[in-house]
Amino acid sequence: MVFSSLPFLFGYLPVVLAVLKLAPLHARNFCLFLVSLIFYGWSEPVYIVIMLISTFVDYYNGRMVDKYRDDRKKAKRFVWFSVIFNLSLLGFFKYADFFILNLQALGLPLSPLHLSLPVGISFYTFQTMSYPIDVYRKQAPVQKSVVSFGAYVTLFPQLIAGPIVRYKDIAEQLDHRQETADQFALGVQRFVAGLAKKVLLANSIGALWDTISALPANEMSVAAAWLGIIAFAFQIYFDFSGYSDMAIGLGKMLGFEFLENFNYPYISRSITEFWRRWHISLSTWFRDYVYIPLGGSRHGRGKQIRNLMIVWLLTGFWHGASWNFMLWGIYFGVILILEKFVLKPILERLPKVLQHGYALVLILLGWVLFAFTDLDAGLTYLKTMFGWGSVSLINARTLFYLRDYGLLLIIMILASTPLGHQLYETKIRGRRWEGVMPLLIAAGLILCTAYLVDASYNPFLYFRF
Amino acid sequence: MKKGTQTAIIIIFCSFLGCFTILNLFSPQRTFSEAENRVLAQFPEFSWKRFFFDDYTTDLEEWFTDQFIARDLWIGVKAAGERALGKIENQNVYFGREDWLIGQVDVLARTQSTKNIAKINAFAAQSEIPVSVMLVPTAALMEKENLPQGAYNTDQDALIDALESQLAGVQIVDVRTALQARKTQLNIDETLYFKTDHHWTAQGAWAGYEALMTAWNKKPLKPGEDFIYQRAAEGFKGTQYSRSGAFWHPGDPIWTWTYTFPFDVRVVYDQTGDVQTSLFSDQRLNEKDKYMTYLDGNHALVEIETSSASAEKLLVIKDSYAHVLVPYLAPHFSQITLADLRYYRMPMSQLAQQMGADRILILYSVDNFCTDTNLGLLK
Repeated sequence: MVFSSLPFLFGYLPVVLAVLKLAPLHARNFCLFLVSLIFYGWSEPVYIVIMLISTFVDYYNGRMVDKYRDDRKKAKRFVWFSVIFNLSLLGFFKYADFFILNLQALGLPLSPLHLSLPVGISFYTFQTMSYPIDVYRKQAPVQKSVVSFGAYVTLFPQLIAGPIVRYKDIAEQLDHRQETADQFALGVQRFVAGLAKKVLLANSIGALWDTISALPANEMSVAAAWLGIIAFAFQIYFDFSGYSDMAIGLGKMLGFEFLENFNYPYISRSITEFWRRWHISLSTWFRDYVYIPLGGSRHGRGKQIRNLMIVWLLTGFWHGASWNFMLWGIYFGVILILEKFVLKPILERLPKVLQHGYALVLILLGWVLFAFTDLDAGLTYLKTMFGWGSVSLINARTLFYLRDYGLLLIIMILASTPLGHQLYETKIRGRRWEGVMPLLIAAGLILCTAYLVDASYNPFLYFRF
Repeated sequence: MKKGTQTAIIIIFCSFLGCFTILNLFSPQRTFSEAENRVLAQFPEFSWKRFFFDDYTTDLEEWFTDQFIARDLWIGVKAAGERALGKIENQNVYFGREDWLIGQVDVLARTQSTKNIAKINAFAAQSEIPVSVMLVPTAALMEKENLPQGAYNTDQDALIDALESQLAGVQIVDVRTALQARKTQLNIDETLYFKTDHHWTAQGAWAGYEALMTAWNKKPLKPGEDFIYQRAAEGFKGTQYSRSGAFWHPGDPIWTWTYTFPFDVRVVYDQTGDVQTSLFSDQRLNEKDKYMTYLDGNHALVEIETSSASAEKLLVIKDSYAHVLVPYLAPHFSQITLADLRYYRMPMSQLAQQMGADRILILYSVDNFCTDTNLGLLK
């Protein structure tokens, strides 16, 4: 079940909110644990077992790390146990088939397992891993209640698509959170904004990307290729950040404050800045739990470059078990290293427009690597973008797409900047115009519901004739 | 945030979710969606086996979504939303001028049409009976001026020219000129195509009829003299209406006609032995798909015998564009058989021989012709 679906909005969510708000305070974590397990088990009931095992194992690891806090050697064993356990889970379910298929190609007699990927496994294994590490580093207190810990691991708002909530960021709130009307209203606002981003913007522009990426070569044009990848860039941003907004909003409704995950990434003026603004919780995670333990920048330039490349290879691979994602990670790793050591002073002297242009073009080229799991198809697409071969610059079809999606594109450009947020903070929040917010929320809910019902609208028109 | 805003936001959110949650629980279950012409998902029977191994929850979600209260209303809201977003189409149907809902024609590949042309050429080469071919353009060509600014369609003029130039050994019937001429003579309440459906109307088909009469050196009958039109039904809301979600549209009229001279027909659908005595199925006038009035919609085989003085027999190999045209042809033939290759499973040469056809007409909408994969039995 995803947040942007009718069963979630008009089935699961109202029931869960009612249960959680009516439950006595001391039972709320238990209820939260329970409803989160239902949410998790909804699509694959069997996988609840994995979730429970994961919860208990890391709960135990945390307790042991705490028990041996004065015996660092012993404590470290449990940290390692947790890391190996979680990475094995992730490795088995997400990457087994990737390795099997590649080994198969090398001639080994193996066959793929075809396991369905447990929902959110990339996110929650990273979360549970962070817990014993934080306790070991004495950055977070140990959790004495398995129920509270279970509520943290399974917490449904961020279970599927993040943000990756580190234990230390939420430890305090798990047992002592306050739920206020103000926070709930802000949560609603955030949730509806996220829902609208996902349903009204991401899904709509996604249709354009689907159309363009499926066009035969003779119907393509250079402009269409750029338009297509721009559409993809908007789709993935509004999809992902919309989902994060919904998670943060739901968290607020339940009394949690999660950290921000996106900060207008497309206004960046360098790739370094982009990665400080894009999927923040993931980059922070890799920084704290991989880059710094590897030595970070403390052992000279050579080691630093090695560490950066490891982090970016892993970041790429985390996004999917396929070569193109690894390539995507390496691509950004190389650019980031270049920016750090070579380009930074040059970039800073350029006019701002060129800095933006530089960053956007590199981001878009990155999305081509990301979007095509088939490397050949990706390469062909890149060639089209640069007019390689006999492809026209622009055609009537491209003009039609521009006309049909023009207003949507303009809206999305504006929505990618902090303008709306600034308007809200300076003119609306706490002022006379604040009254428009409830109206906007009502309109957002109505439109999102309409678009969600329509998504299942499937006219069977006798094969047209 | 002010207290008042807070309260308003919380009330709006909770009551919106709460109300529809509860309304959904009590709304009556629908089995069929007329707008979509499909069966809606029903509540899935629970069993533990299904729950653990058969995606029970997926079925449950599908049921929930399909049965969502006021489904058609929401779809209209979405279509309106798309228009507000400056979109000129929804689900590939253009919001045209003057209430026109025009389906986009986007022929991405010529592979299927090339195959189909080859089938026709091979069929004509072995046939001793003369074969005529008519490829009918859609409203996207003939109502070009009513398309919204910026619309993109495959150039059907060029497409038909290209297809016709590949045809060999057949008589090509040019319907575009006739349609163009007819268009200038239409009354205010008449159109060549339905504004809400992908078919042509009785007026459009009349142009097709005239083109055939010219091609076959026959004298066409005249409306007002030989036959009289009746406006048989109002508010026909066809496929483009359903797809576009433009549920504010009033719909199209349906025209039928009667001959002023004594003329009888016997129509048998799908060899059932059940004989109808009209070319129009009046009971279809009350259904959603009123285009089925013409020769009762899609049938594998339709056999028409007439009281015509002519002894000629005609075999029509066709898609549904033929349904409204063939009634015009009836007075000129003693027997007309319509075969739909999507459903009828006998080689066409055999059928032609069996009925003793004097002519064969292959009639398709060009849009459909480019994607139809059922011409295999054209042999």
